[in-house]
Amino acid sequence: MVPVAESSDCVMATVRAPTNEATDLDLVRLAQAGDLDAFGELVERNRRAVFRAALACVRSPAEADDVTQEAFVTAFTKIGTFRGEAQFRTWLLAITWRKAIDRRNNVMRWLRVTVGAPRDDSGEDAYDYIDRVPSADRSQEDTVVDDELQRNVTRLIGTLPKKLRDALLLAGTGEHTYEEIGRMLGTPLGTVKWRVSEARRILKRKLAALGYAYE
Amino acid sequence: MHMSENQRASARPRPVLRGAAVEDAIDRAVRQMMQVDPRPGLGRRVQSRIARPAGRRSLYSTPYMAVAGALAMLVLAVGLLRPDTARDRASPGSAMDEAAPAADSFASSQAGPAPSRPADSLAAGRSVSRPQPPYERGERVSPVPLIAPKDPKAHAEAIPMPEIVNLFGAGGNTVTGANFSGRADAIATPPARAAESPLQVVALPMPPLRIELLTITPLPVPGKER
Repeated sequence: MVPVAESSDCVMATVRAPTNEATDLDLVRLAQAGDLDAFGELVERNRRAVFRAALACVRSPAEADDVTQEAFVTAFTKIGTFRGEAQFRTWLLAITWRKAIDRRNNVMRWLRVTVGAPRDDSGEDAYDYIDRVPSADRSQEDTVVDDELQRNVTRLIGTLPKKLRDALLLAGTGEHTYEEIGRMLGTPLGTVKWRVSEARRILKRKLAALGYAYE
Repeated sequence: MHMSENQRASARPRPVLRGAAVEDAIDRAVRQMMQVDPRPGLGRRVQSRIARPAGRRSLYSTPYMAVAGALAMLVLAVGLLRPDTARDRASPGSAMDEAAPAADSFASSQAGPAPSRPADSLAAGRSVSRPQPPYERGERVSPVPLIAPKDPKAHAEAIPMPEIVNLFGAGGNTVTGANFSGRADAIATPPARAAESPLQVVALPMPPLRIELLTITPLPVPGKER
C-alpha cells in the first residue's frame, strides 16, 4: 500500500510538472485567468531578482522584503494589463523599482530613519546585517574578507550619489543585465555603464584618501 | 589619552593594495551587500497579502493616512477659527440681534404692537424694509439691555434703565461758553499772519577748488636697489 504522503507528493508532482516547464508568458496567461498557483510559480522564479533590485534601492533587507511583496501584489492586481510586448520579468522589475523609489522617498521612512534607526556616515540607514540571509552560492573567499576594508568600502558606497550608487549596486546583484538595469532606471545602456565605471572611480579615489594606497 | 575606535582605526597604517586588489575589494563589498536572498516563504507571504481583504489593510496604508491627515487639518482649522467665532458672538451687532426679541417684548409691553420683523416680511413675500426702532418713532424707551437670553446664567428678564436727562440743557448752534467774558455780540477774528518775504537764492561760503599735479614715485624693486 502506498503511504498517503508519498501519494500526495506524486499528485503534486504531476500537477506541477507542466508548470515548471512552462514559459513565463504561459504562466502569465494562466495568472490572467485567475490561476494563483501559476502566479506563485512566477513569484518563485523572479523573487531573487525582485528582492535584490529592491535591496539596491532601499538598502535594508527588511524593507526590501516589504517592497518585494508590494511589487508582487501590484503585479498580480495589474496582470490583466500586461500584453506580452516586453518580458514579464522586465515589466515586474519596472514595478519593483517604482515601488522601491516610492519607499525611499517616503516621508514616514525618512522620519523613522532620522529619529530611530542608527545611521552611518552617509546619512543612510545602517545596513542591518542581522536581517541578512547569506546567499548559498557565496564563496568562502567572499565570506572571509578584510573586515575593515569591507566596512570602509561599504560606508563609501553609501556616500556615492544615488544615481551612481543605484547603478553600481544593481550591477553587483548578479541578477540583472545592463540592459535590464537601463530599462529599470530609464536610461540608455551607455549611461548605465558610465555610471558604474564612475562609481568605481570615485570609490577608488576615496579609498586612496583614506590611506589605502594602491599600485 | 583616550582614543575612540574610529581614531584608532584611522591611525592604523593601511595596507598597500594592488590595482586589482582595490577592484576586488569593491566587488566583494558590493557582492556582500547585494547577494542576499529574501526570507523563506516569500511566495506564501505574497499570496496571503493577495488574499487579504481590502478592509484589513494596515493602519499606515495611504488611504488611512490621508483620512487621518484630513481629520487633523479639520481639527486644526476648527481650533483656529474658534476664537473668531467667539469674538463674533461677543460683538455688539450680534448681541443686539440676540437681545432684539427681549427689547421688542419690552417695547411692546410699554408702547403697543411690535414692529414687523424682516423674517416675517420675507416669509410674506414683501419687500424687506428696516424696522423702525422705537426711539425713531418718538417713543421713550430705555436703552436695550445686552442680555444673551440663551445663557442660562444670565438674567432673562429685561431690566428697564432710568431715563437719562441732559444735564447741559438744550443744544444749539450758538456759542454759549461759560468762560467767555466779552460782549454778547463780539466777533472772533483769526490773528493776522506776517507778510512772507519772497524766496532768495543765497550762495554758501565755500573755499575755491585747487587741483594739484599728480606725481608718480617709482616703487623700490627688491634686488635692484643698485
